[in-house]
Amino acid sequence: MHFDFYSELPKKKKLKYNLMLETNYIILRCEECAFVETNEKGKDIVSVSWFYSLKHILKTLELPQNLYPQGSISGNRLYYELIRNYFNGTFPNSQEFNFIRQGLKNLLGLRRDDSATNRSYLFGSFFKVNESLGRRESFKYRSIDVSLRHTAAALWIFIEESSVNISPYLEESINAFFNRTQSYLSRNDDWATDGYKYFTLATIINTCRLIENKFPNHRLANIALSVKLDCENAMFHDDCISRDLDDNYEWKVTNSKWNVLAKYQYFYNVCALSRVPYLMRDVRIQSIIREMINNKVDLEFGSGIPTPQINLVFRPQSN
Amino acid sequence: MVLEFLPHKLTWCSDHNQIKPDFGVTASILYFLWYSIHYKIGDLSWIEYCKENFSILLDFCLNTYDKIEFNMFPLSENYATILLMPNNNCDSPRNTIIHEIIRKLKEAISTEIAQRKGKSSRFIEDVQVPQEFNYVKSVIQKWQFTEPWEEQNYMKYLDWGKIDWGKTGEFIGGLLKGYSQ
Repeated sequence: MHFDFYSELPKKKKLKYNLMLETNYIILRCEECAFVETNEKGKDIVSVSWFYSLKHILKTLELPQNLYPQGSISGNRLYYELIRNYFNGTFPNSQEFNFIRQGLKNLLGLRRDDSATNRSYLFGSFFKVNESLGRRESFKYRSIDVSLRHTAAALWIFIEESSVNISPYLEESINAFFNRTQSYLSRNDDWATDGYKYFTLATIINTCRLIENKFPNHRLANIALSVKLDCENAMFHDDCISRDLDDNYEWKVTNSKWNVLAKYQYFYNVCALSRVPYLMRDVRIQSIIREMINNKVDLEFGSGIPTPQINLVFRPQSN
Repeated sequence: MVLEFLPHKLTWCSDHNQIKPDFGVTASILYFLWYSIHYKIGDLSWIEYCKENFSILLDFCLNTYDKIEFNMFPLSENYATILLMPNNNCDSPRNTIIHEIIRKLKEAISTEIAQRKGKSSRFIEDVQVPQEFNYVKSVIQKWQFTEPWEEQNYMKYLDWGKIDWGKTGEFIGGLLKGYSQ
């Protein structure tokens, strides 16, 4: 079904719709920033990220100001996708966009832990250069706080930028990503402490779908399909989703350190769902969206949805 | 406002009238509705539900995308998600104007960082943009352009064009470091 709402808009609304996208696009492009990072060998490398507004957001979210010092890899993945989508699916072939894409790949490459002794080939959102002591010859390496969510997001970008022939560099990271995901799904690693399991799972699923589509004849495609199905099942597990007595569903936020973010519950709901919109085929996901729409607030500007869930009546929850 | 912590559920209790709707969340849900209708995701009753709500949410977005009081996190992943919606205007001559606005603002941001004089943001204020984009300036002026650069080796926007990576891979920026310092 093709849904061409745009052609049916009155001229005034068409202009406003275009202006709305242009405004967002300009802000997004102004958020880009290039900077030089020094790796463990002392080489300077130009990285690109999006993060000017981050301090402002962290302050509102009451999160530590030093979180994501060079931007969020999850955010970067989305912004990469949005810029491409603005040009209807293809980046302009210009020096500026080549610069941004290469700078982003440099940023991600520096955040893979492949210079450490116990390398995992996974990614984190930042690195620091440490010196290994206690050997005859000390050496410097990049120390990375590995995150499964960031690994999935980083791989998504690398895969999009990859040719159809998968490189050994990418293959070792994808293999490591599958192993780490399977460990996560087995309730090892950080499953218990991950406050936003549904968000992590949605990001993994998004990357698995891309592997399936980009390398359909590769053995990794079969593994991606299997991991994706396991993650979809996990998203609907009691650990991730709950149902109240009115049969409404919502994601569980289990880690107390994240509780302060509960008032921005819908912010995270839509962040996660934007990775896996096809899951709206499931009535439980539809229920989450209906609940958010039911919370809309009517104003002179129209009816919009707030970031917190507004519950004026206490409703005990069932599992 | 009181934030209550309940088993498995966090409830935000508040005066409904004090809660403001947010452009970012509304825009993201608008995208979900469009996606469901466009790709025929879900059964007929769900598609009908999406159609019923689509115009309502679209109107709200059109009325509030440039009003800071309805944008809790400009820019944020939610706010920017509106760019997942179809763009019917991407090949228009208008893009030349948009590109020029971006160039001027990025240069002003570069100057702002180079000056490192705190939150004056006067270089951004001085940029001339069409009136309909004044909102962009007001958002950018809220960003943090000072502290992060004491730790990071920022590269001026004017220098971006001096590197042509093409498809050759990472750039080793020995010379560049001198530029940015």
